[in-house]
Amino acid sequence: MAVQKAIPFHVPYALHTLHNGLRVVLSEDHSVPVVAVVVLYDVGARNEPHGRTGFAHLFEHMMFQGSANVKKGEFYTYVEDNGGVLNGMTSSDFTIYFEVMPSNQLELALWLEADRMRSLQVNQENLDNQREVVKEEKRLRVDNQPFAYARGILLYELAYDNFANAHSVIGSMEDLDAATLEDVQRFFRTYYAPNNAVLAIAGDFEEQQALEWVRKHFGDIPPQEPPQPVDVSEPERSVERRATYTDRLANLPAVAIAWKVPPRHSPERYALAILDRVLFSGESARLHQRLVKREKSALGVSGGLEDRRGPGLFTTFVVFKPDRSFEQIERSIDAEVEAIQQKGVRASELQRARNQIRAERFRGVWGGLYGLQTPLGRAMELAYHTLFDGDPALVNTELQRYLDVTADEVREATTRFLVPRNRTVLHILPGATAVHEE
Amino acid sequence: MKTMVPVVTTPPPPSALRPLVLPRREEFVTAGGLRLILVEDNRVPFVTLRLVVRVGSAHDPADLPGLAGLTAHCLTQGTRKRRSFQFAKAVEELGATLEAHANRDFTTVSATVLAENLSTLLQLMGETVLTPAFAPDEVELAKENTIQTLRYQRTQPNFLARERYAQVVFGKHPYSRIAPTEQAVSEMTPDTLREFHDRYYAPDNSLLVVVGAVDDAQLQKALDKAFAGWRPQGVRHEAHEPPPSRQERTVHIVDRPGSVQVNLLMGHLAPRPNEPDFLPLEVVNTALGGRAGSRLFLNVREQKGFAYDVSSHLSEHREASSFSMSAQVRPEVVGEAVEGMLKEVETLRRDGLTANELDSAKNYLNGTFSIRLSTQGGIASEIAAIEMLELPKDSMETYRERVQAVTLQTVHDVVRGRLSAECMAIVAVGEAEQIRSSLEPFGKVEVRPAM
Repeated sequence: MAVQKAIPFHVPYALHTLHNGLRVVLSEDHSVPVVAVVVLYDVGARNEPHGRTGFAHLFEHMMFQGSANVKKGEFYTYVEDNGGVLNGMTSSDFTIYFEVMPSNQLELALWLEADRMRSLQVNQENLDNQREVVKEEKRLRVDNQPFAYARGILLYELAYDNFANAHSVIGSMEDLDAATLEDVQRFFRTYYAPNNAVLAIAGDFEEQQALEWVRKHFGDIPPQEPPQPVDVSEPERSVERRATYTDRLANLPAVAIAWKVPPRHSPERYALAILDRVLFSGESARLHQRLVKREKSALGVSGGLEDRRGPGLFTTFVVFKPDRSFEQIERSIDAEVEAIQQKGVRASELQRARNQIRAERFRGVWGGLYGLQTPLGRAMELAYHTLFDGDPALVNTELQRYLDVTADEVREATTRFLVPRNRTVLHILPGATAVHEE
Repeated sequence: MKTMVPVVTTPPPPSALRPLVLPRREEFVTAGGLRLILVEDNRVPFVTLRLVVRVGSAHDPADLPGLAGLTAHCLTQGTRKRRSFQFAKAVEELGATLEAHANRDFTTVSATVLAENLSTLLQLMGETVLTPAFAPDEVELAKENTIQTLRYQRTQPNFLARERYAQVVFGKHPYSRIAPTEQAVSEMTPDTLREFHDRYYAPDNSLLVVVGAVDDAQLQKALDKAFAGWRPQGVRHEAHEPPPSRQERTVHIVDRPGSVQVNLLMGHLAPRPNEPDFLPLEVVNTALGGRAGSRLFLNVREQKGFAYDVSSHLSEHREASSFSMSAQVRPEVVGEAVEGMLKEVETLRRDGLTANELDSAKNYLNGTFSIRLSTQGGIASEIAAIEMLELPKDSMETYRERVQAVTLQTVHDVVRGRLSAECMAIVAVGEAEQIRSSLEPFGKVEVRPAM
């Protein structure tokens, strides 16, 4: 059956900068009476010094603890009582907050975000309380789950050489215990300034009205000295790094591999994004076909390109059956990587990767919430491109850079980066009670 | 120079409410008798599809738990025309996804595709639903992986909590099984799957929902072709005895060595989604633990710091739902946490909600309803649920009015009639030795191993 011509799609946007340096990016769409407000701060775990790991994330929790005109707990109730949802997320690269509201409550969301950007109020009791909440979050997400520590924390600590990149977002509980109210206040002054943030609004609103509200609520929040830039550069590796970890909660073995790869927007990174789809995306992808289907050795294969503003990682994680060996699994992964280094990728694989990337823009990668069909997805994409790249136009133009990647470029990037000396290999041994055999 | 404006110290009022235009649904029947509900959405050149078949784990034969799940899994592992690799390749080259999954009540074959490739994708969807191969080597591999996955799941505290909770709350009803057994999986053959498929996967037992940038004339033509030859089977569904209601509170510990946290899941049965009490209970659930500004979140997390995640849930199943509360807490505070959570239910029974809480919960439900409808997947899921859970056909159109109509009196009646801290099953996954004595005050304690 004939494949029809691609239908064009375009996200409209307007970028403004306030006197205090706050960048504001707006994207109107009136199809649903919903509006998304995103505030993206240029601070993440990468900014944490030794002895203060986990602080950026703990601070994210503090942002819900009250400001001059919004008491503790009221941030949630103002948003939800008016029909909205909200959340915050911290990564190594950034901290992001969002509200999705019925569109007639846009000004409320702006007021809430402005009030905490201007006048966050923290006290010892709230700090202590949120420290306990974060400790439970770590027990829930990491300490009590099989593979979570090895795959989500240890692998990164081994794969990166620069502390700024290597340490985890959740951080160490000892470091969190050492954090003081003064740390919280200093962190707020340094990083939560209008000139260190991007505000993005997408959905059902009128641009002039929205801008007026933005100026009214954010316009006179004073700017601060720009924070010191973080050095996230990574030295080149000359030898492969290998480690073994026994996971007392796991009952199956697993192998995790991470290769160091270049930062966002380096030319090779687009080729590696295509490689990601060739190896991992869908059941016809090479590693699933080989390890799960043909060799029947793995339960599942995941991984791919993990983008960062600075150097990133290309990872692979395979949980495999107890009667297989680490050597067998590694040999199979190596064989697929080497095949691409020698013969490149097929035209059909390239086409598949291109179409998958085009479709992912709408589907979103995390269960749909963040795809470009939602106001939140559009606001987030615009905010990322504005803060990281200084260019919201990329929301429309970057696609072409993926579509332009050639088979040769994929082969070259694989040959250059997916080599043993550039990688970390972690063997995870099951330490839980052996599985019972009937 | 800009003029200085004073800082605004009170929340700004809302502007005029903009109307939510509900997506217009068109209904067709294909030549072969498959019902289709179409919602045109031209915002993005993309289409979301859900073929729902009324067969779920509740239809598993008593001795073969997991059959609906394995059948759904193997459905996409090759057709009579294409081996599994060829099939996956054909789908994925379109930039599409196509997968099948069974829940308790129904199986969903869900797909997404770039609009330009829709007719090819429909052809593949028809092929996999009508003529799955259930090839012996594919079924063998799926069985082996299901057994390994089951063993892996038994290391996950959340799975263990849900498994035990379902057993205790649903008793002999088929909803009590959330996973297959190794024994049952080993006994399944390609023929078992094929017979199960032939019995339930039929146009008179299914519905196709399509949301996206679609030309309806073209769609109908493509569908007639893709589902040609699919014949109605006169599918019959067995009625099950409803699960028994609980008379006392009991404690069920799943002993998981090495746990650093206790996974708590406690609750009891709740009305079916098509009963009048369901919606008021949804309002109550929202206020109690369905959102961040809820009583449980503010008290157990924000005041006490006992948990990162504490919430309540109202599940939607066709034959019997469940109301539950969950939290993951450190072992030292497990007693206090359970007490705090049960106390919230007792307070609610005594005093009901405040007028303010009621309004807030209604606003939240109506606001998030609009947010859900901002994605194709959200619209498709709403429509599929109406059909599969036997809700009134105009449920979407009347939803917001029905929410608005809930009064304090209705809420209080429903809370008293349907919620009870005294009759909950309390499931706790953790180190039994560490938590047993803290949980004894809440009811008779039973301990089982995790493995």
